[in-house]
Amino acid sequence: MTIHDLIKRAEVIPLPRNSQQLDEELVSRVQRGDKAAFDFLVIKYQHKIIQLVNFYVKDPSEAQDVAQDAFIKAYRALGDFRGEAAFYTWLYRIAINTAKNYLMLRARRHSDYQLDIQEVEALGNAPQLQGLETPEQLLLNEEIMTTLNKAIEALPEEMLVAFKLREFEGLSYEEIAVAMDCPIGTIRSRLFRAREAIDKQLTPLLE
Amino acid sequence: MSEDLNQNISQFMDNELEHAEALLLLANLNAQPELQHKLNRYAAISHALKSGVYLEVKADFLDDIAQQIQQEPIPVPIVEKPVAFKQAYPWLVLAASLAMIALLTEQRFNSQFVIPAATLQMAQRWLPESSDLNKRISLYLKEHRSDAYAQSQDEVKPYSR
Repeated sequence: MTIHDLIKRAEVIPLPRNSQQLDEELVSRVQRGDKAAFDFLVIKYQHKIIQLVNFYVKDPSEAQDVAQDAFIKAYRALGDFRGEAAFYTWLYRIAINTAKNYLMLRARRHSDYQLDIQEVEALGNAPQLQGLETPEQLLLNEEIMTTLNKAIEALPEEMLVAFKLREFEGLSYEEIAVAMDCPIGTIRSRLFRAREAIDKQLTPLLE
Repeated sequence: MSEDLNQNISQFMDNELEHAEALLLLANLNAQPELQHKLNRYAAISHALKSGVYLEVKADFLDDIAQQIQQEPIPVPIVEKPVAFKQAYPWLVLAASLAMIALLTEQRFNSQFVIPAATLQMAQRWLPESSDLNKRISLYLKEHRSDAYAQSQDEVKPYSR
């Protein structure tokens, strides 16, 4: 998936209305002085922003610092947020601009980082270009991906189908329930159990 | 960590939690780092499946941001006044003041002081239709119509201009 796919997915496939309403309420609370409401927004979007920034920065550790910077900038700019765009697209734009500024500053400091922004975007999404540069990092990532794929294939069929329809096709719970001809509650449970089963297999590698 | 909470985390990741439940979960996530860790693991798994890279959020990511924003002022929305309003503001203040004086004087002393209708009408243009002052100006203008004598209406007060 390219950066354009990430942005396009955010803009063309809008978040569900209840998710946008939640964002609007949290933004409104922050604007009225409730700083803890901003923590909620960070929790909700931190992994998406880090992943987006890492696409530009190509270094997971630095991506987290740049992402934090993006959230601080977003907080400061919340007074200017009018709600014309959805909060998450507004946040994504700030994150992208912050990442691009970081790359330009880095390029000025280190002559070996002479990468054009277009070149960065064109480089694609290979693990070797996501900041996993040392053999140890690449090896660990390979092990994680192998374990992940094995864990998925070991899922019972009904869990596997629900999981793939959600993760790879992006279907809502309601759509999956219709596709699999079962109640939404069953889908909810299957997806949760699938994630738990995969997480359990990954834990020994990560801790 | 309860299974119900973990199931809610799974739903939250998929934007499938109702508004009130999502707020409650966020409060729990904020208060319990191990719940945040669970959310971040689910998110990292989801991202890894699409990108081939496992990328997890560091433990103190939120705390660092929370500490920094404590030093920041509240981002209060800036309300832009229309340009025309800014230019007319001094006159509006004058017109509104005269309108108030006229009405209060009229009611308290039943005096013969009358202010020009044009001034009151200008003030009225800038006031919300539902405001009490707007309604009182309307009543005043109605009672002090310059054609009152020609219409011979009893409720009209004298000395209209």
